[in-house]
Amino acid sequence: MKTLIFIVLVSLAQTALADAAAIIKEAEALNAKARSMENAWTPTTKLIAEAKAAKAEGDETRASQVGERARMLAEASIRQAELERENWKTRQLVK
Amino acid sequence: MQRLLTLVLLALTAGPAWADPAADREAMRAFYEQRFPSIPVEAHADGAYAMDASKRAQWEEMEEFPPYEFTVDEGETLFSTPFADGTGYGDCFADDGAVKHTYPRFEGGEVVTLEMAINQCRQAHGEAALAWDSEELMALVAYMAYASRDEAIDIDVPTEAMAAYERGKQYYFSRRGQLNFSCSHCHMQISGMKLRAEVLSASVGHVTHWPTYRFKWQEVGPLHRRFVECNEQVGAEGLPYQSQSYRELEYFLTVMSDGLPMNGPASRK
Repeated sequence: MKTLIFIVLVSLAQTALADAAAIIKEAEALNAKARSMENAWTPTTKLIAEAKAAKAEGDETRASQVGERARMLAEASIRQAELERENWKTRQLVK
Repeated sequence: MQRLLTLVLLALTAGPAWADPAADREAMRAFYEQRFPSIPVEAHADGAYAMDASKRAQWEEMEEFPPYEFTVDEGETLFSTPFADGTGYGDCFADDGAVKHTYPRFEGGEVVTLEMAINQCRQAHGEAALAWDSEELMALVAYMAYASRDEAIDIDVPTEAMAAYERGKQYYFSRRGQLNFSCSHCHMQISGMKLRAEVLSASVGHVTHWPTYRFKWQEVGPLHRRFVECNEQVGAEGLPYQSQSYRELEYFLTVMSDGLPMNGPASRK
């Protein structure tokens, strides 16, 4: 029973570690895509740095949470760029 | 069958539907005339100082001892210093450098700013290009802007430049950053209003006074530095100076100010 609990705990810890790393990696990839579209947001870059710092300090929970916020912002910045490909036309004076 | 052929021919021959820069310019000016009926469009060359009498009075006092004066003097010296091959900037730029009002131009398939033209001149005569943020380049541009004072902006948009013009316009009207603002939101929709203590200027006249000494910077800096600041203020990452998008945005803004007199360099808060 003790062995089983130990295995479960180790497994959970490894999952959390993998999750934080994966989330940060995904946020970085999405932010790079936004940057290639000339539409990266400054808060995304700051949050990625903050998530990495939390991970380096061993705070996996915070790294995951902040990384997730960064990932969502990066997604939003890409969506904004995609929407603005057409939406800007509604703002021009001569249509 | 005949109708189908006609449609195919039309589809093959029709190019993209370009806007008319002159119509855009007139519409933008009409917008500001309506928004600020007591301010002549030309007065917007002084930016927010055209809209706020007390700030204008402070600014006029500052301009009595212009903080960019040393930079202009340095630029004049650099402009008249010959290159190693015996030629100089005067061989590239007519009228002793009083050509700022004719830039940016569309040359070689791209928008060429005065900064780029200076580096092209240097490289054509065996000199190294200057960094976009170098003091030397700013001094040269400041001198050339000073030499061009009161000259009316004279920018062409040839047919082959329409795509670049259109991209510059797209950049101006596109939302960006986490705050989801476009240039037009601040400088058209809420122009004349305040963001904290600062009055938002009109876009007509945005390009007439660069490079500018900003007290915030404590030095003379280029228009593209201001673009970076604007981007960052809405939570967007700025682009490199002289990037294609910034040059095309400068092109669009300059076309919007076509005919206005140059009044650079200037000082701003």
